[in-house]
Amino acid sequence: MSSKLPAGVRFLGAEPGAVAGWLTHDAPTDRDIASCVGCGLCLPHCPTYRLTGDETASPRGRIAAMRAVSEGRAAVDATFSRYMDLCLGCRACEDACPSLVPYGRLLDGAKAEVMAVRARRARLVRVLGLDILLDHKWAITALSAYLPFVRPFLPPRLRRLVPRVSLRELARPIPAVTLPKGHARGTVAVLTGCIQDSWFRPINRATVRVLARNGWKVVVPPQTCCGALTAHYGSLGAARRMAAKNAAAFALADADWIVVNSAGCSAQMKEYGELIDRPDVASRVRDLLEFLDEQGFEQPAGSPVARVALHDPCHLLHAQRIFAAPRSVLGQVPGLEVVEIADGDRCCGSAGLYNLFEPAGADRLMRQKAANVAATGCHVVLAGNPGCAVQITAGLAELGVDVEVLHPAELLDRAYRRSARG
Amino acid sequence: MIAAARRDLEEILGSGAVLSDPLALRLYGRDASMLEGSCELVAIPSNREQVVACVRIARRRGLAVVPRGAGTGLAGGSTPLPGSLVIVTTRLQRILEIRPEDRLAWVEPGVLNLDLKRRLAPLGLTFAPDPASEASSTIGGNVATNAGGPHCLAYGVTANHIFAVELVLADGTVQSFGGEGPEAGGYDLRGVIIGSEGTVGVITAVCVRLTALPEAVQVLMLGFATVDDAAGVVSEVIAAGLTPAAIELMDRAIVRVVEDFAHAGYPVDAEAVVLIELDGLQGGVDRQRQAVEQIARSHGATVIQAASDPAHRARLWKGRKSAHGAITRIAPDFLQYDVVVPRTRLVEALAAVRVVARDEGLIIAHIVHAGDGNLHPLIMYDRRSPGALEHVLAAGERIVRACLEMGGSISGEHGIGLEKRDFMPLMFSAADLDLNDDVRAAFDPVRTMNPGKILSDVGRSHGPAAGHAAGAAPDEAGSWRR
Amino acid sequence: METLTPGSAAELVDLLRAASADGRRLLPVGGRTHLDRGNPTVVDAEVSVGRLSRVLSYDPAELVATVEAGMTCGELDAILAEHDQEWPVDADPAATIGGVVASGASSARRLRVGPVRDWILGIELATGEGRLIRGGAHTIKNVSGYDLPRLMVGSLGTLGVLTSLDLRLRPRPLARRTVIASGTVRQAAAVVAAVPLACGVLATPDSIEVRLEGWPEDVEVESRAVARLLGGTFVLDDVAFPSRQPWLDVAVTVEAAVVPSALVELTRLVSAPWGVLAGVGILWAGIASAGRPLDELRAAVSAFGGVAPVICGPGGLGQGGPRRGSGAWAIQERIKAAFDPVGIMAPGRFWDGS
Repeated sequence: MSSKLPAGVRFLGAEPGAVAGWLTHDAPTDRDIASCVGCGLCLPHCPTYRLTGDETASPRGRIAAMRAVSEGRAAVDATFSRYMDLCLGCRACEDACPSLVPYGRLLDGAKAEVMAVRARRARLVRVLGLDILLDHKWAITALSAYLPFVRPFLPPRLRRLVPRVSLRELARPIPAVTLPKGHARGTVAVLTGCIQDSWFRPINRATVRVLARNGWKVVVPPQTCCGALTAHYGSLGAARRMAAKNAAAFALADADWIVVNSAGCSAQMKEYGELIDRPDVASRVRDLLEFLDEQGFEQPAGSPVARVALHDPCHLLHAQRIFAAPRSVLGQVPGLEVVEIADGDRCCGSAGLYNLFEPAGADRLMRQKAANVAATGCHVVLAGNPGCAVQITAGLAELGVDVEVLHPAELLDRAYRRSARG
Repeated sequence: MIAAARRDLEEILGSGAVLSDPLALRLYGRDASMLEGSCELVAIPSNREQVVACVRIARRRGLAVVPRGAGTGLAGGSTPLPGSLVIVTTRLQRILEIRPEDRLAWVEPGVLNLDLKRRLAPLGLTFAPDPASEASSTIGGNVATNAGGPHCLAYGVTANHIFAVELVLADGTVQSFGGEGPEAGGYDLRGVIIGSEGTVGVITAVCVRLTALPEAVQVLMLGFATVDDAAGVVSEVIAAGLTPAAIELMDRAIVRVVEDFAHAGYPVDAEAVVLIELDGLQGGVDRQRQAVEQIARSHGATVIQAASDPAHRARLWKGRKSAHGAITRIAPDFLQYDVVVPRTRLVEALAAVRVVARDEGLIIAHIVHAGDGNLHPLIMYDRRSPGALEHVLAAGERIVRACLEMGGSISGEHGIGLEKRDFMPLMFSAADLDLNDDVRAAFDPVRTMNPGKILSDVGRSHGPAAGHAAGAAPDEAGSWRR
Repeated sequence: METLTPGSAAELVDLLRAASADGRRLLPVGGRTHLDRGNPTVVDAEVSVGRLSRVLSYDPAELVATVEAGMTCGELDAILAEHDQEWPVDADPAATIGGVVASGASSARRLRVGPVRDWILGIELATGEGRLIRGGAHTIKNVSGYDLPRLMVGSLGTLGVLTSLDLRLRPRPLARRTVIASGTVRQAAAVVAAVPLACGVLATPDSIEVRLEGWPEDVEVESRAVARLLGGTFVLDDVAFPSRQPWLDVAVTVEAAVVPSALVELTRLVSAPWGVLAGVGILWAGIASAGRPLDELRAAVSAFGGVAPVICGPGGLGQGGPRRGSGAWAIQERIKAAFDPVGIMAPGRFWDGS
C-alpha cells in the first residue's frame, strides 16, 4: 500500500489539530468512537439497516457520523440528528461487535448532542414529557386517570398504543411491603416503573405475588422513573437526576436485590454504576426472570397454556445479553412449550419512544414482528417490556389475529393460581 | 452537473433513494478498509431497471460509477474517488430461484452470503465461499472481489462457485455472462468479471453453484508454544496428503481478543492456535483426525482439542471470523495486509515479518489462512503519533516485497482496490499490466466503472488500450479520466 | 503445411511478432488430440509447443507444479504419480497441458473435482501480437488483476500461445473404485444426490458407472450405498474412469453441456452410443455423420440453453456464445483484439466463426 493516494482519498483518522464539533459535555468520547473498526459485522443485525439497506441507517454509519463530528469534518446539524433519531437504540449491533463497541453509550452521547440543537418547540415537548413528567409519578397517575375518557378521542395511531387503563387499578397502589408466607429468604425491592405502574399495574401485582410466593419479602420504596427514556432521548442530565433519586431510595430500602420487571428499566438501572457512580445499586439489579433463574423458584404444578411464543425485548437480549434465563425458567413450567419467534433478535419497533417519533419505520418493524408471532401459531406471546407489549398488541390487532400478549410474570402468576386451585 | 444528475436520479428512484447530503456522502466514502474517499452522489436502486437508469444517468452527466454492496471490502475497492456516483446494491436482495436438482440458485447481488446459506441449509446444500464477513457481505460483493474464506482451502474461492453473472455495463446495457450449464460458448469472461472489483460493470444477478453439506465435520484446535511450531504443522499436514476443509492460524495477540468476544475456549496462553476443520464422511474424518493429531504431537502441540458438536464449532469459527473486527481492542489504528506465499514457506514468511517488526519497532499480529499460505499481518500503530503512518506503510511494503521474493502474491482474497494497486508493478510487468488494462477496456472503453481501482490510471507502456478509441470519454469526465 | 517449433518463449515471441507484422495466420498445436474441437480454420502455418516441455518447478509438498505448455499429460501424470499426486483433468496421455487448457476439456470426474479451469493458478502466454504476459500466480490463492488463466480455458488458440502454466495439484485419493450397475439416467441423478463421495456418475444406455474416490473406509461405505440404490453392482478398483467410451469410436462425437435436469429428456433424442455425466450436465453422443442428426441434437440442446460442440470428427462448435452484434459479443471482439489485433491466431476457429 502506498501513501501516494489519489486526490480526494486519505487514510482514516483525525488530522493533527482537528477541533471536534461537539457541543456538550455528554458527547461520545473519542475512545469509544475509535473502538469501531468499520468491519460491518453489525449491519445485518441492525433493524433499520435491514429495512433500508442504507449505510446512514446503520450502526457503522452512525458511528462514522460521530467520528466525522469528533474529527471536525461535520457538525451536529439536522442531518446528524436525523441519523441518530432513526436509530431504535435496540443495541442488537452490540452483540455482533467483536470490538465490543459500547454503542448504547455512544448513542446516548450523540442523542445528548442532538438535544442541544433541536428546535426549541421539539425540545420543550421532550423536556416536559421526559424530564419533568416522568420524574413525577403522581403526575403520570393523575394524567392516566383521564385516559379512559380521552382515549376514544385520540388519533387512531396513538389510541392503539395506549392501553385501556382501569380506574379501579389506579386507585389501588401496590403495597409498600408484602410478606411471604412463612420464613423470608431475603428482601427484594421492586421497581414499579413510571408508565408501567400506571398503565400496567396488574403486571406489577403479578410480579409481587410471584416473588412473595417464592419466599421473598417484597418492598416498594418510594421511587421515580428509572431514567431510560430520558437518557435515550438525549437528556442525560435529567436521567442522572432520576437515577440519583432512585439510587438513594433503593439504597434506603436495604434490600438484598432490586428486581425489575421491565427490560428497558432493568437495563438502565444496571448502568447506574457508570452513569452516576452507584455500582452498589447497579450490581444488585436483576431482571425478573434472570432473578428467578439465578435464585431458583417453585415449580408450578402446571401451565395455564400449552404453548407460548417468547419475545426477547432488545433491552434484555442485547443490552443485558440475557437469552437463556427466560427459556430456563419457562422450561421448568410443566406442560409449557416455549416457541421461538422467527428473527427473534429483531426489534419490534417500539424502542422506547421511537414509535411516536419515527412512525413509518416503527410500523414496518411492528408488522414484521406481529407476522412472525402469528406464524408461531401460539395463542399467547410473552413480552417482558411494556413498550414491546404495546407494540406487539397493536401489530397483532392490525393483523386481526387473536393472540394474547402477557408478561412472563402474569403467566407464572396464573400458573401458581391454577396450582393453588387445583 | 451534479444537481442535474440528482434530479434525474430522483425522478427514477424517488428522493429517498438518492443521497446528496455531505454527511451521507462522507459515510459512503469508505468501506471496511482504512481509506476514506469522497463521492458526489449515492443512489440506492431497488431493481435492475433502476440500476440501468443510474448507470445511464451517470454516463450522461459525466460521473464515474462506484458499485457498492455492504461495504465490507478491505482493499478500498468501493472507496469512491471524487466525481463519482456510488450505486448501492443492498436493496436488490431477492433470492430469485433455488434449483436443487441443478445445484444452482439465482440471487440478486444484495443477498447476504449467510442469508443464502441459511435458506439452503434445510435442503442439505450450501454456497461454499465463506469470507470472514459472510454474515454481512453480499453475494455481489463476494463475486466482485472473488472472496475467499477459511474453507476455500478445500472448496475453492468464489470463482469456483459461479455459473453466470448478469452485469449492467458502462453503456447501460444489460449482459449475461456464462450460463446455467457446465460449459458455455465464447470466451469464459466470468473469470474476468469475478474479482473485477466493480471495474467492468454493476452486478445485478448471479447464478451460484450449490454444494452439498458434508455429512461429518470435525474441528481440531491445536495450541503451540511458538508460531513456528504451528506453521510447521500446517506445512506437514498439506504435505502428508491430508485434505482439510480449512486450516487457520492465529497468534496469541489475536487469540486473546477473539476469546474475549466469542468465549469459545481458545487457549489464551498459547503463542499460536491452529484450527483445522475436517469434513466428509465419518470414516475419512476420523482417519484424518488421527493423522493430524499425530503430526501435531510430534511438533510439540501443547493443546489438542476436538470439537465435533456444532455449537462449539460455531463458537470457534465465530471467534476466528471476528478477529479482524476485534483488533481495535489492541491498538487504535492498524493496517492489514493480505499477502500470499507458497504454503511450504510459511515459517519463512512469518520469520520475515518478524524481522520487519523488530527492525521497525512495530507490533504485528497474525491471522493466517495457513493452508493456503495466505497471511494477514496486522500492523498496529497509533495514528496520532507523528510519522507513524508512513512508518507502517514502509514496513508493509517490506513485507509485501519479502513475500513476492518467495514466489508469492500481493493479495490472496481481499483484492487490489485502491490500497494495493501501487504494488501491482512489483508483481507484474508493464506488458502484463497493459493487457489487464486492455481487458478492462474491453468491458468499459471509456473507463467510467470504478476508475482508479486495481490498476492505476496513469502510465501505459504499450500504445493505446484496445477499443479505447471506440467510445470517447465524456467531456465533463474530470479527474478520473486518463 | 509448415510447422514452426520454437525452442523458447523468446523465440515464440519473435515468431509471433513477425507473423503479426506479415499477417501470417497461425494455429497453435500441442498433441493434436483436441484439434477437432473448434470450427474449421485456414492458416499459413502451425506453431507447435512440443519443444517447450520441461517441468519448471515442482515441490510436492506445495501441491503446485509449473510446467511448460508442451509437456504431455502422460508425462505429467507419471511425474506426479511418483508423489501420489494428480492434476485431475484425465486427458489423453498424448495431449499437452497447453492444448488441454486451450480446448477446455475437463475430467469425467468433474462432479467432484471440478472443471479444468479450477486447476490452473497462473499462465504465461505469448499473445498473438507477440507480448509475453503473465496472469495469475504461483500460489493457491491470488486475486491480483483480472483472472487471465480462466480466460485461456476454451480459448482454442485464438488469443495466443500458452508457454507455461502453474497447475494446482491434489493428493491422489487412496482408494479409486468404479461401481457398475444397471439403471436409468434418473437413477443416476439419485446417486448424485445420495452419494456425496461420487466424483463421477456416468449413465449410458445399458449401465451406470459410479466413480468413488477417497479414504478406503469411506469408499466401502459409499459402495454399499450405491448397491442399495441400484441393486446388483460390479466393482472395479484402480481402473480408468469411464471404463469405456464407445461414443468416441463413432464418426462424430458431440459433447453437449446443459443443466443436469435436462439430461433425461436429451437422452431420449439420441441413439446409442451415448453417455451422460449426471449432476454435471454433460452428454456425450456418438453420431454417424455431422448432418441432420447433429443439427437436431443441437436444436434440442439450444432449447435447454446449452451448447453442443463436436469434440471428435467434423461439425465444429455449433451455436453458442454471445449473439453477434450484442454487447457481450462486442466485448469478446475487443478481448480478441487486445491479444491478437491483426487476427492471425486461428481465424474462424472460435465460436461464431470469428
